[in-house]
Amino acid sequence: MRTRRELIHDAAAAAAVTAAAQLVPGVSFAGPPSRVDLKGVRWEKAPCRFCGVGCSLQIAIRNGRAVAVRGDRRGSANKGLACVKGYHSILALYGSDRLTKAYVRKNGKLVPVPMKEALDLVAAKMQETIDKHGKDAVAMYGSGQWTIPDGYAASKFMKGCIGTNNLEANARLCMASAVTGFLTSFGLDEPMGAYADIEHADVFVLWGNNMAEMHPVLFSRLLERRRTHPGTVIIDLATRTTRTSDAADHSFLFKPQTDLAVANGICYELVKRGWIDRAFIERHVAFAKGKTNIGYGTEDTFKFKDKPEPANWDEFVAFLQDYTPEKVERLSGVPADAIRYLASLYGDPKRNVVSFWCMGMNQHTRGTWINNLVYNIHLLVGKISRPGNSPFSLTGQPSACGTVREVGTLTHKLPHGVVMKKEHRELAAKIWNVPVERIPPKPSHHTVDMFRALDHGDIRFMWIQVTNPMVTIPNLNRYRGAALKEDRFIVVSDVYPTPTTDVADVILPSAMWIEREGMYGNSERRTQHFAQLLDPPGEAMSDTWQIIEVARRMGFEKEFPWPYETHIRELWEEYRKFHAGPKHEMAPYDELVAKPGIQWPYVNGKETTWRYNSEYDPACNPDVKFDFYGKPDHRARIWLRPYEPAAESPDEEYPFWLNTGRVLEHWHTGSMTRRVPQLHRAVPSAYVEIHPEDAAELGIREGDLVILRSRRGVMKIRAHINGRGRPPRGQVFVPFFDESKLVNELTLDAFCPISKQPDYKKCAVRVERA
Amino acid sequence: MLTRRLASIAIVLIVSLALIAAIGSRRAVTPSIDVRQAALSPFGSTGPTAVWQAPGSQTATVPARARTLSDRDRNRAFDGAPPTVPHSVDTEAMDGQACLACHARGSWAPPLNAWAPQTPHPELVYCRQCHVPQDAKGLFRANGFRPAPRVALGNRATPTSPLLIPHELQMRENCVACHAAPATPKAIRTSHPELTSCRQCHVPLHASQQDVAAVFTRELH
Repeated sequence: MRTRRELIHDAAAAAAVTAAAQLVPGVSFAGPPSRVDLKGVRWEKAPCRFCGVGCSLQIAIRNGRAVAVRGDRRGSANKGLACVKGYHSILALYGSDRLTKAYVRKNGKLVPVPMKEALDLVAAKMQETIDKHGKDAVAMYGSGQWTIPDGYAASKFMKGCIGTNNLEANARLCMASAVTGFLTSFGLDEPMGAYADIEHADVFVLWGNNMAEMHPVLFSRLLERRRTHPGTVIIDLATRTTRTSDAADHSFLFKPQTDLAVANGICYELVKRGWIDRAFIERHVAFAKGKTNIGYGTEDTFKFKDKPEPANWDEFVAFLQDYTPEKVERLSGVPADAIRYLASLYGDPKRNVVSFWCMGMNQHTRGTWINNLVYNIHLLVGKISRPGNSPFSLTGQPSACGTVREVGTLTHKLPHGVVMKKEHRELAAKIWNVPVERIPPKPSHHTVDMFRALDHGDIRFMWIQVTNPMVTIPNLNRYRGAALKEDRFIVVSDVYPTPTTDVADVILPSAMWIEREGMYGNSERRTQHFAQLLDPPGEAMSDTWQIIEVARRMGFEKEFPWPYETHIRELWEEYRKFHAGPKHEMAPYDELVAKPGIQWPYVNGKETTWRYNSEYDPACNPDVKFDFYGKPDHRARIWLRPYEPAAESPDEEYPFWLNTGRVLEHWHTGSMTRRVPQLHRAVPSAYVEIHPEDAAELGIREGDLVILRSRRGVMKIRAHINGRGRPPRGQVFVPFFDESKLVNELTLDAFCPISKQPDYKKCAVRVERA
Repeated sequence: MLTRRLASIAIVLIVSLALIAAIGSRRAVTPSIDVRQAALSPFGSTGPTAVWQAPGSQTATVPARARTLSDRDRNRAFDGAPPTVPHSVDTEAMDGQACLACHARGSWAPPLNAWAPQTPHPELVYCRQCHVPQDAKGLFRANGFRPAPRVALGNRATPTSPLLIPHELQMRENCVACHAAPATPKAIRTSHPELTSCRQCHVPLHASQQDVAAVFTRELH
């Protein structure tokens, strides 16, 4: 028996296909992807809820419940495969403690209240805080797991309606350095290439990227490429030995932070040997330098603004003299011959090279710099924007690109451009139909600074959606204290109880993933739409609709006028106006509904797979082969960025490096995946990986309780020796998914001064047997 | 019995050493083997120990018996989900060879006293991307997921017509792996393994997921 909702959905999907076919004549569209089979199971498309790969899934719906998952073979990212998280993703909907009603804290205790009452209170409290302390006393903190409409509604609400730039998202903690890397090197965000590069590449260099666990489906594509294309080489450059190292043809370990020197060492060798594409450099590249010795942002008063200046070839060559392979070996521990070997791979005109990276380079106090330096290598040899030649910055979350980077849910951003530019504010004000003076021209607080402002009292009200900062913010003890201070009001929208709901004054139950309609945008500029396939439990409501409900209560009915049935379409079509033009054109709603995913720029019904290459990219000047149109002079930048040490390095008192990260089986803080029995049982608790010789010296055996202590916090955790990750001597690693073992109480809130992204990979700790 | 077990342990040791040698150039492997320590680990599997164990048992005491469909159901969340690994996994080897030693052809696994199910997709070598061991028993929170009932067996139009394929073929296109291997449950074992062009007679019961275009139907106009 089909429900009314399902019938409406089918009719809408069929209408969408017809409409799409009319929009783009001559292109045939697949029919509605849903079908009913004999078992009463209906299969519907949806992107995976978890990482940034953006696997296309199909979900089986039966009697109003999700009952099975399979990979969608039409998916450009996964071609039918998924990983263990994706296959079990639907189980994350059915944890027994789903939040199904709203709660308000009264006399210290959470009391269930009707959703309407909770939304009334959120709106009233937000207004009261604005009246008492000004509009910059309220803030919103969202996520790269926000759908695109969530983020767009938040941007319009905070910047266009309330008129504050206090809008940030957890992608600041994962992608900010990637963004500033792209902007400084190319002037526009997001990769020029696509996953399709994998099937054209001969060499893969993974920079601090445990892809086997973090982007497993893409990693399987690399392995498949090597299996079917003999001679393919996979190189792992890492600070600890992982599954990725095991599968790689070569693994070179470098000392934390010295990837800066390794990248410059490769450039030194390329220049010295003449393995460079001189014509490409002369035609398409300019040189630049910025400030050095730029600090780490650990002081609350820290301020930084880079001062870019032009440089030239001779200065660049002189700069590289500090990075001979021998000097780099002394600094990094990577053998000089390995540096030469890497240069020979990058410099071989017969081999196509893809570099992949993610958190290792982004969560880095010189994150912007190391992004620039890897682009330098590709620009020197002209291996960019061509099939199989791609510097590829992977993203961690399902919509870090789609929502946070493209919609711009960051303090300095607007859906198109930045708040600092008058013409960008004017465009936003025009599309939003609000007075332009309402959008403040100055950015306010980046994420770490926002939590510092909560501590100081500059921010009194914070609304947190789809993220769990009370597990993930570095130097957590300080910022948990901030949230718990008197006269702070914290609203948390989530699907399960978490350490962040523990500090909430109001909890709003959210509809999760396929319980509402939305879109995600993945690492390769691909937008994927999913329909509402299930009813949310109890009073749970989508984050988009929560924002709309609160905005309307605060007098912004005119800005959010749409009925529930069409609000996602309306938000999308309004948002799309910001990106009009061949550099960023987004697909119309109806086409997104009809296809598993569409890559932008989507111009005249055609996806742009390789940007800045006139053969593929309609935004390029057709008379030249490459056109880096993001920069006014149409030239990409090679930056002179030196090695500088980490903010905190091991010393006598705290002799170990502490590194943190994920495991394959868990998503972020585990609030969803730990409720999936198969995933929880696979990795039930966090542990500390330690080198066997360090363990032996400290009298630590497998499974022993260990005390880890940093200048900021202390934790007890069990030791794991020779497991899936094997740190070198002098380093330990702790995954962060386990809310009962909060490694971020130990981490340091130092950040890249340019991107403001914290470094979760490097701080100093002491290790003792408990 | 004892000699047989010793012999089987010796075989596993030889295989393990060969594996260690094969991957030794890529990673450092600690050669020490301490099964006792491994059993005490909170993570179940600790390193390249030589013996595989059924969860909760240090030595293989499971009696050999035919695998049933219920056995098959027990370690997967729903029909079509990747099965979890019901034994401990003592290697981090990434090239799939450790798993394929038994699961490529569905070999006899002496420590478990059982036939290993044969993988239908041996070309996908990153096994633990999808197949994870279950090292803990408890739950973080209970989960109310209910899978759809397993597809019914015996789908055929007439008593003598060939059976129809009731499941997805994606990643399960090698029929022999699941229907003619030693570990195949009796209920789904083929009576004629010598005929290997299965899909000459057996066709899918439902259209493949790829057939997403609306199905044309002939009407009398």
